[in-house]
Amino acid sequence: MKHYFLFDTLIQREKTAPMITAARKLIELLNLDAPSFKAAKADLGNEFMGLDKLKFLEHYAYNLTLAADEKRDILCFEQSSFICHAQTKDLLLNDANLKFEIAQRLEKHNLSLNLDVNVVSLEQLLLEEIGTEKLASLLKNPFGNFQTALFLGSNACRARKYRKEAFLTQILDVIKLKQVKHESTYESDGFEVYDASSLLAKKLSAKVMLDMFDNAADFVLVSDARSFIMFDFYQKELEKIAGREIGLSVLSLAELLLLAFGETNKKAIGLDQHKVTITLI
Amino acid sequence: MECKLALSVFRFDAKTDFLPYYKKHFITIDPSLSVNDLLAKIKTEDSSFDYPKGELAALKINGKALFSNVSIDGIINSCGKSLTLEPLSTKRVTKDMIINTDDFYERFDLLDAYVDGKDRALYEHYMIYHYASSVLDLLENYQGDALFAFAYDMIHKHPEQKREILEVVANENTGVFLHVKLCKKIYPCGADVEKKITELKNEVMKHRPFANPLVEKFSHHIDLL
Repeated sequence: MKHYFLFDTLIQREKTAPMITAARKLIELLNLDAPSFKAAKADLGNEFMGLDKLKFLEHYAYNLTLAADEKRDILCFEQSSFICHAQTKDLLLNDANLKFEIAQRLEKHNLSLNLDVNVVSLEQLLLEEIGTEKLASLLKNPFGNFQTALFLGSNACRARKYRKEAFLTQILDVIKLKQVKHESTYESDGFEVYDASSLLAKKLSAKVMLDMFDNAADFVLVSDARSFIMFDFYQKELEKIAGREIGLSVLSLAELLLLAFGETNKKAIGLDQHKVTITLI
Repeated sequence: MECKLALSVFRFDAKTDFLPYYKKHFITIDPSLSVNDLLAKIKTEDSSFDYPKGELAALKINGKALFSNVSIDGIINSCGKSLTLEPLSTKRVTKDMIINTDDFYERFDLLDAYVDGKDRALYEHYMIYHYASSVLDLLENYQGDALFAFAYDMIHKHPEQKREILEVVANENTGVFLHVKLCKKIYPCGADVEKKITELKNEVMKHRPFANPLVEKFSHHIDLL
């Protein structure tokens, strides 16, 4: 079995706590060697690259180096942290000048840049290390009676470079969950402009939520912590902007799998911390 | 080898119609031909149909903005054989696939004083990025992603005008910090323009004294890291 660090210092942890609780629980259930990556610097989101590219790269190169030195890969259970770590590694490996600059910056922290580390998504780990047969054997509550709206967001294009999008669909097939068709899968959830204009961010987010709601989704499945913040934490505010009730539950992959594997204790999965009540169980 | 496409084509005439509608067409065509050829075929089936022509002719297929000189086989690979054809902006349509592009050219005026008249041709090549952004529908006077990509080119071409250009795009109410990623909304791919916009934001952040309180706020975020 491979050794990982679970990257759980997500962006805005106070709003993404349910995702973290569920991911830890899932890792425990699957008996994986993936302790919490406690020394890691917290995720910033790749919006930060637009403000200061070098500081962004230094920040994630720090995490990559720490994990590589410990001979552990970085396991990311959501898209924001996955993209940032994978993109940093990719950029540094393909630009010698940039790599030299970042290595110099890390030396100030007494670290020697080490990129001998893999950044692995939860979907990839589930399929390549656990396998669909094992996952199917754990299934206690198939989701055959439900249909979800899968939301990947405007960052999916970057994530696709580093992991296959089909992985997620394969996992949904294992738990027999159907998807509704909607046109907002790759739209912006608004998070990326929240600091510049919270009103624009919420308008973008409300538009997406209404589209998924109108296409008869029972709940939204998000792959990114930023989408979770916009759709769950701010849903009441989105309703005010839209002038309509939405009331659509939002789940992460780890939460969904725990439910499918028979976990019903809302607190253990983190469902009790959602702003929008989960009514599936 | 020819293939059969199921098309749903946006139709609207601003002079006579109250509401738009979508007309179905089933067209057999050689996929090595271009979208322009496909539009011409639709025209032969329905002579009242109209579409933009020329080098900068563009439209949306299955929600992706593209220039209509691209080949059909690439579109099939990306979108399948069931295609919805719409103008670049359904709000600005005058006739079927033709739109009023005044708003696009008005944005150019924001930088006109700092660039050459000849540079306008380059700006026009970014037209699909302007209409691909979902921010355009939600924010009046949004400068637009075409202007940001163009501004990035211009600060390199006219470095003596860099400060003025950056001050325009840094506008806190209409500028580059309100851009949302649009890779998936462009065919074949908007990644190069995304890179330019990211670099442009970095240039704004290096620019001191800061253009406005928003840039100052972001700078404070960076300092806190």
